[in-house]
Amino acid sequence: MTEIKLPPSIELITKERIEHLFKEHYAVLTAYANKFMNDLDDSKEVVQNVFVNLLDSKKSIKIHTSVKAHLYTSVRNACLNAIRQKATHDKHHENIKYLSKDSDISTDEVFEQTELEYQIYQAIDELPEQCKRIFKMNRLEGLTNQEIADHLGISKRTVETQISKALKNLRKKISPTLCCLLVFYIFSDIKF
Amino acid sequence: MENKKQNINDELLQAILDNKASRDQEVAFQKWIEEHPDHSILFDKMKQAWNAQKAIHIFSQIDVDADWQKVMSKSKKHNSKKHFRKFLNIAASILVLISIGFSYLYHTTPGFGKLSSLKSNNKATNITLADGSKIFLNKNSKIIYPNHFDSESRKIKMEGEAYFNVKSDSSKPFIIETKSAIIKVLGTSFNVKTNKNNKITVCVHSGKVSLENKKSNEIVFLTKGEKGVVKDTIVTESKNTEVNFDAWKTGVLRFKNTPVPLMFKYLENFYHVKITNRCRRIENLKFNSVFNNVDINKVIQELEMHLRVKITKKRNHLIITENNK
Repeated sequence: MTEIKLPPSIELITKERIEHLFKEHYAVLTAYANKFMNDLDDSKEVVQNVFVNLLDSKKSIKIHTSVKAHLYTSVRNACLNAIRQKATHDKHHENIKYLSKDSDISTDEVFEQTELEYQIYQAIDELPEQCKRIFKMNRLEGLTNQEIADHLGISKRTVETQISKALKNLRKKISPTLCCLLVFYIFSDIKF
Repeated sequence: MENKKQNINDELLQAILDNKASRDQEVAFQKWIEEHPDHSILFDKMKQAWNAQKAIHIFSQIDVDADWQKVMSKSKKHNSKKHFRKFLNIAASILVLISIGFSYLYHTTPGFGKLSSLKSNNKATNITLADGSKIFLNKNSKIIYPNHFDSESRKIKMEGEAYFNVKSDSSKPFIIETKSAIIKVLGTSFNVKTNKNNKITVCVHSGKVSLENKKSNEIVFLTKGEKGVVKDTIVTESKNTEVNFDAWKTGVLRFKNTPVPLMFKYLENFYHVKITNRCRRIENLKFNSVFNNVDINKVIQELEMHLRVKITKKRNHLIITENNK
């Protein structure tokens, strides 16, 4: 995700700009919120409301950092409020602690992890259709190559070719050094 | 790749990551971790990756475009849908009001479908209703009647004065509603007169009429030659001595031993004039005559002759003085 650098000043955010921001960051922010909320629907709602507020705020919003960082902080705060409202579970205490900590978008490991996950997801999503399908069946649904071949009515050999093609693509796409290892890990452990 | 360091059994690693490791596996894993500091770093990354593998499912459940629409619909400022819906709501409410209004008009207001009205201003008029009943309407009177009668009854409303010649239909009573009384008949002719004080006078010419006071629900039955009066909460029934009750309709004024002042009253009513009598002599006289559709000037002539008075007519004002000639 590219960071949009802005002067630390007042920016008049247009609807088009917000829509653009939404399309770019919504998935990651929602997945991030979900790590604390453990409820995808609630998480979606929290993030949506952040954007609704952005749309409805009458005055222009003072954004001192990047817009992305602003969204990040807004989502954190919204999550915190949402969790506090219904939190009685012990499990949430740690989340509350984590979220109430002063945190920066660049040092938040959970956020970093979420972004990484999104990259992987996108990389898979961008694979050619057949390739993606086979790859998902193998990696995400845990089917063996033979099972996939039977299911799709193709040869096991084709499945294998498609999967190695997918892996090659992914390795190319998914970014540099840090990911290298985990990508290798995720995508090399193929059950034949 | 750094997989040279990754000399750990896949099965073992998966068991550890899934928290399903046996004791032996855990021991083996601990041993591996302690072998080299890089191993624990490697393991952390693998754990992260493992979690990522699970977490990427989340993204397939996020529909960015659909959720943007949700955001737009929640937004007050940019919600075209909501605005449109608001518009629709208002439009629907207006439509409902209009249809209620129309249905109200249709059922209650003459000229809008179900009902018609007939209003006489300065001239008496008459109408034949759908059932064949004939109504003669005196000046400044009004009736409201349905274009078609329903199956149960024939209901009309009236103000002022009217003479009814109701077509007989024993299955459908003819009902006349005035401000203070309800008159029910089957088939008959009679005169109804209302005044501003809500006094109703019904004079029956033929047949039978029921007259009900709306306030007290008291009912009297009137037959030929009888007169019923509704005033306040009272209904009275008496012989009809007013021979001229339907004069406005027939155009015939009959006077038989009628005291002159009373005769003047009839004339005032009939010709819509005001009579001022400045001749005391004639006050105790009685008058006999029939005016059959005659002009007021003819009446004046006859009165001057019979009563030996002088009548000066100023517009609608008749002034009666002694004839000094």
